[in-house]
Amino acid sequence: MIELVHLRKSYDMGTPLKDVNVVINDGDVISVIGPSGTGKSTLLRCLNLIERPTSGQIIFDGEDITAPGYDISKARRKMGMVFQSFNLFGHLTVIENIMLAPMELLGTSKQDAYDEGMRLLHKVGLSDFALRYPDELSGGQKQRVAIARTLAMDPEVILFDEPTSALDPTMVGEVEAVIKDLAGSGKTLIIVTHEMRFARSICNRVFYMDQGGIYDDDIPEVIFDAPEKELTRRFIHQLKILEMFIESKTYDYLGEGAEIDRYCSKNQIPPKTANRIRLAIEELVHQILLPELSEPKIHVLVEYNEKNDKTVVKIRYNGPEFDPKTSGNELSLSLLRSAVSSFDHSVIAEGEYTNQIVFEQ
Amino acid sequence: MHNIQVKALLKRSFAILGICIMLAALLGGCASKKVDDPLADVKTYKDLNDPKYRVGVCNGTTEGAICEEVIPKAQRLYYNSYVDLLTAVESHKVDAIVGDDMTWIYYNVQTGGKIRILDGFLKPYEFGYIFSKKARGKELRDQLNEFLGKLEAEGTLEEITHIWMDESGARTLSVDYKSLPAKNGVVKVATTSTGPPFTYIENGIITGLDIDVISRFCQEYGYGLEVTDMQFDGLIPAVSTGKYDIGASAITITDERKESVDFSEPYYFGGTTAAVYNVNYGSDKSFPEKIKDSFRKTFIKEHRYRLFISGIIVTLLITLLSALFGTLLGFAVYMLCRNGNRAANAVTKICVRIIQMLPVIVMLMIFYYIVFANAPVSGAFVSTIVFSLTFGASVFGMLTSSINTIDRGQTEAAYALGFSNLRTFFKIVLPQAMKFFLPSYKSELVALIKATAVVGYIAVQDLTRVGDIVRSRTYEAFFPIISVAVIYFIMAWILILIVDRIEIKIDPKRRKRDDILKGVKTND
Repeated sequence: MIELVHLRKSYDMGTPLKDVNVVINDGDVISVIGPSGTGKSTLLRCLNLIERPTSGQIIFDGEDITAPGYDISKARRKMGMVFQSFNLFGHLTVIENIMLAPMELLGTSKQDAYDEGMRLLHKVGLSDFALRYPDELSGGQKQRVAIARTLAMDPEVILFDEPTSALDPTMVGEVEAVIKDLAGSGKTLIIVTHEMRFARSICNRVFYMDQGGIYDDDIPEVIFDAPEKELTRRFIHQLKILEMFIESKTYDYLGEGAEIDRYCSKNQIPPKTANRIRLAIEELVHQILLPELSEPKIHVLVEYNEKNDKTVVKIRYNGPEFDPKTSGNELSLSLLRSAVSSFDHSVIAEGEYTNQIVFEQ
Repeated sequence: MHNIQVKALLKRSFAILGICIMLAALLGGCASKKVDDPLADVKTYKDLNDPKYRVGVCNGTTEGAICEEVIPKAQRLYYNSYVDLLTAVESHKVDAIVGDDMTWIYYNVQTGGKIRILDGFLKPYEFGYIFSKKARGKELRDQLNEFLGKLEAEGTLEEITHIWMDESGARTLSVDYKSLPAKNGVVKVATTSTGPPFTYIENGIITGLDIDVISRFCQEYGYGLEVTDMQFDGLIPAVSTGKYDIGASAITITDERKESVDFSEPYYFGGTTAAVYNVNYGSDKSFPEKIKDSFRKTFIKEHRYRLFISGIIVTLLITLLSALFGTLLGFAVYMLCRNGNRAANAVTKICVRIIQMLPVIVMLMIFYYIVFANAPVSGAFVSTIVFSLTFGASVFGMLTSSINTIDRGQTEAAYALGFSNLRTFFKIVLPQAMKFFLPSYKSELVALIKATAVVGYIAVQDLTRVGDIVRSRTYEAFFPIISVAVIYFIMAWILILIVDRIEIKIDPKRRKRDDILKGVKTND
């Protein structure tokens, strides 16, 4: 069992981990997902102290491994790690890469280390490559050797730091197959990955990392199929977001228009659709809502879903209940109708916002 | 063609090219040339006062200043010793040479008139022995002055001059100075043994007029005598710091020198004289005979090969010990700095920089004359220390850069498996860094053996110095230089071969399959 207590890691450039508190149980197979730069690798590298946390504690099997004077190599022997860039020892053959740690650190005899090494090589399908040097192997083969090397120490926990990111797409499968094999073996696996399909197929728990910590921690069915938290949902559906706040009658509507154009071209939304979105927002906000509201507080949210190529626009605003359909501005209303086929108005109560309009493109 | 083969071929062609150049130099130097004397109308030194004449003078002597005063229009070229001057005039690098009259006379006695001595003294001079200005120096100076006065009164000084300078002179020491009883202590004398007849080496012993006078003095006053050979430039600092008691090397008395050392009363009165190459000098011997003659003179006569052997041993000893200590030092410093804090690293880097930036010769002088001024250590010891430091600095630099080429990921992988910091370094990082380290180590080693050639400055008789000494005795201009070159070449080659072997031996990828799995039962 691993317990993280108020774990914090900060660099001169920023603080990827602000305050992480979590308990990892024995046998957990955890996928760690999230946008880049959210501290996924940092979290993993802090677990075996390859990166020293700035503050906080890591309790591994009841021992505080961050305590001063604790011999971290003891904990590392029980906590293997597989790297994105393989990091095989270049001067040793494949079998020596696997035999070295047990012989040096556990005092295993050369014969036993060899037998176990060959068994592991067989398991990862590379027993014919025992006497090759790492630079003679393909990326996928290297990563399988690296996994065998980690397994040779028979660790309780294995940390995978983006194990397939550096691989040719054709080699991802062979490495994933080896990791899948391990998933049922009772070892605790923590896998940082960008391969959602793979993550979902083997794990029993998902950490979605964002905002300086583990933002969401749930079973894969929830995270992948029905994400409950907003940022998780955006990440899973690969939503591209544009948010605007309009709180004055004299806002810079030309600037906002340009921003919508930029956002659309950045996400490769077709120009025709983009024009409609801009027109709809302009008519609704500028021509219909603003004259109606005495102290306007309007929140515009545009979500573009890469997967199904759909754009959803949500506009929330304050004031008494007001459905734009009842507006007297017939010209703007007809322009709005020509831009969007339909829009729904509902009454809500989220902070200051009391009305909501949603339409799709 | 395979890359390695190309390299080997390149290497071989370079070696052949080098040997060809040496042979060509040898041939060119020894081949006799019959030419008209372009200097036929130069009769006295005054005729040299013309910008078209190149005049050679010796560094560290007063002759440069004298030429500037007396024949200011002539070009001046500076050489390190009289032998170099003679070589230069013989190979037409200069038109005339300026130096002690007695040296030129003695040279002609030896060679049968290879140079033509011009009429007149550029400046008359007096020779004196030098002492430090400390109490011991003053005491010895007074005793020697008293002794010189006595010799002169008895007429012995004239007799000694005859022994050493005239064609018919005996040129042998009257006293075996190596076995003088040291009743009143030992007198340490510094000399430059390339100035016959005042001081030179014969049969491996430093001898000459100056040595004769000093050993008679030591006998009279009950001193033991220890004579040390060094570059002329080093004499005055060696004596003024008190490291040596007396400097005896045909030293001209000048006011400038009197500021750093005390002089005895003059014991020889002569003058600065100019000489040119005697174009009529020629030998009727054939080329092979000349080579044979040169070989005999350079190696066989007076068992001079022994000098060469001792020179080789000194050079090798300094090189190998410096390489050994330097490697250990560089490695030790690297290990200390590896995980050290920033301040310690910064201090080390500055020290390494200082050592790397200073010319070795300057460091040798600093250590010999300042750091070990009052310690009874030999020049060879000081050389070993200095070269260990410089070699250590480069080993440190090479280690740092070669270890930095090993990607950080492997270190992390070893840590993640549970390897300690040290074990990771020795098992994972270092074996791979050696591949990058050894090639540069090899060239540093060759650079080291070549760099040791300057140790003659601090009284060490290494191979280069032996070459100089032999040249000063045989007046062979080229043969000793070429011989020294060939010996250095062979030594450097052997060093390279040894490191090549090590390189192959420790390359992990060249291990045999059977060695990798030694002692393991495999199923295949």
